[in-house]
Amino acid sequence: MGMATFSWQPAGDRAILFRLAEQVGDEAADRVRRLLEGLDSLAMAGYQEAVPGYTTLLVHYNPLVLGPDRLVAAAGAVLAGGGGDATAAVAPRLVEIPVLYGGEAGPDLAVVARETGLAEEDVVARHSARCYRVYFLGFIPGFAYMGSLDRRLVLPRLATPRQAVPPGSVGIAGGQTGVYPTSSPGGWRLLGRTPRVMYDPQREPRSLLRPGDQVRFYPITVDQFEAFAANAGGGEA
Amino acid sequence: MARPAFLVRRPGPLTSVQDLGRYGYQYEGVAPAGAADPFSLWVANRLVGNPPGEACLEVTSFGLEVEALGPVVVAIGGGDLDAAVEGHPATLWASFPMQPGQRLVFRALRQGFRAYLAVAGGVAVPSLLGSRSTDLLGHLGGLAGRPLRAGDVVMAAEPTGTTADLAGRRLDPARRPDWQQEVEVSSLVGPQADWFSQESVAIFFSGTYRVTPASDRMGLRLEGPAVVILPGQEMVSEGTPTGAVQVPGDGQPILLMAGRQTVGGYPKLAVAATPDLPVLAQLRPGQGRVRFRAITLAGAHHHLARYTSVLESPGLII
Repeated sequence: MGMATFSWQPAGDRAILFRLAEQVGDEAADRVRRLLEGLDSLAMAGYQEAVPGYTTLLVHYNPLVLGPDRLVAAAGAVLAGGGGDATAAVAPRLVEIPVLYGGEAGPDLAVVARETGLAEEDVVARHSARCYRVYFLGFIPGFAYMGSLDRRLVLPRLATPRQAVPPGSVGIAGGQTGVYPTSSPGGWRLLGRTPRVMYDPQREPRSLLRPGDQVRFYPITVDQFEAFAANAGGGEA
Repeated sequence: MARPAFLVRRPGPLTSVQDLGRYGYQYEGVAPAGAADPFSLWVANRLVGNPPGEACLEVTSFGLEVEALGPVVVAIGGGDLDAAVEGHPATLWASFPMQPGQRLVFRALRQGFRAYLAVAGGVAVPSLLGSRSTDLLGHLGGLAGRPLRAGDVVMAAEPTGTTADLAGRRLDPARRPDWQQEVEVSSLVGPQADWFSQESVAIFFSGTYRVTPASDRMGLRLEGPAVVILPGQEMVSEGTPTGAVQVPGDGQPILLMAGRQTVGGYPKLAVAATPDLPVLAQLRPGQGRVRFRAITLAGAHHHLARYTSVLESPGLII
C-alpha cells in the first residue's frame, strides 16, 4: 500500500474501519499510529475515539454531527501528510518489565521447555533477549498486544484455558507475548510474573504501556520481586 | 449530598450499575460497558427528572428485591419484570414515590428481559473515567466493579425537584415499546462481508437465528443457518463496535452487545443498527429469535436520526 492509500468500510452506523496496511509489522503500526494521532489532534466535533489494531483503526463517531464523508476526507488528509499534527518519527519509549520466571510465578515454564526442546534457562534467555513492540491495547484495560516472539518459542494456546490467571502474569501464545493486568481467564502459557502494576485507573499514567512502546522483560529473583511489590504503590517513574 | 436510597435484599441473577457507557478510553482496553438497552435507561432517567445519562440499576430477568432506605422517586423502564411495591403492581414507564421501608420486587418475566430502575438524583457511585457504568469483565466502575449483592446499599444523589414535581410523570403512550421475542433488526453489511461467500451472506439475511442460553451482556450467541468464511482469510485483532455480528469457525454468529470488549479477532459479517440495540437487549436467552435486514449507510443514518429525535423530543415525557 502506498503511503497515502487506505481503504475504509463502515462498521455499523457509528464507526468506520480504516485499513492501513496488508501485513502486520512496524510499518503498519506506524501508519495506524499516525492516523490515530492526526485525527485525535484535529478533534473534530463528532469524532469520539479511535481504537488501533494491527493494521486498522476503528474510528467511533457521531454521524449526526460529523458526516462519514468528512471523516474519511480528514483521514486521507492526515495520511497524505497534511491535516492534523502528525508526529514526526518520535523515538519510542523503552519500558523494562521485571519478571520472576518459573516456579509458582511461571507454572508453564517447564512444559514450554519440554515442548520446545529447550532448557528452561534458554526459554528465559530467548524471551528476555529481544524488545517487543506494543501494537495496541485491548481485551481488558492495559492488556498490550505485543510482538514478535522468538520463533523457537512459538506454541499454541492451552487447550483448556485457566479460569483465573494471577495479575501480572507474563505469558506467550502463538507469535505473541503479553502481561495479564488483572486476574482474568486466559489460555496463554505462563512463563513468569511481574510485580509491576500494568493498569491502575487511579494512577497517572493509568496504563504502563502505550502503543509504540518497546518492551523488554528482564529476570529478577524472588527477593527482588517482593522488594519491588513492597515499594510499589506510588506513581511510576 | 448522596443519601441511602435502597438496601439490596436479594440481588437477582445480575443487577449492576450502568449509565450510557464509558467512552474515550477504548484505546487503553477499557470497555465502554453501559446499558444493554440505552433507550429504556434514557427514558427511566427522564421520568424521574434526571439528565438522561445518569446511573441506574440494570435489572436482568427477575428476582431483585430492594427496600427503600429513604423517601425516593423512582421509575422503571424496559422489560415488564412484574414489578410490585408491597405486593401492588408497579406502573411501568412512570415515576412514583416510595417510602422508607417499602419493598420493590421484580417477580417474573412478562415481557422483555431487562429493566432499568432509575432513582431521582441518579445512583451515586464514584465516577470513573467519566462514567458510572460497571465493566464486569475489567472489574471497573459502578459499585466496586461488580454485580450487586445482598446487603449492598445503593446511594442516590440530590434529585432535580421535589416529590410533587417528579412523581406522576409518564412516557408518552405512543412511544411505549412492545417488546417481542421474534424480531427483525436492521443491519449494515461488513466490514468483512467480502470474506464470506455471496450465498452465505444471502443465507444470513434470510435466516432466523435463535438466541441460545449461553447469551449474556457480552453477546448474543446465535444458532441457525451456518455462515461460511471463504478459505485463505486470516483475521487479525481489530476494534469492534457494539452490534457487530462476528463469525467464529463454527459458523454460528455472535452479536456483540454492551458488555463487549474493545477489540476482537473474528470476521464481522454485519453490524446491527444502533436504534435496534434495545430490541436485541430485550431478547431472552433460549427463547428470542432474530432475523436481519440489510440497510445502507444512508438508510442507517436516517434511522438513527429519527431514533435520536424521539429521545430528544420535549413531548417524550408527559
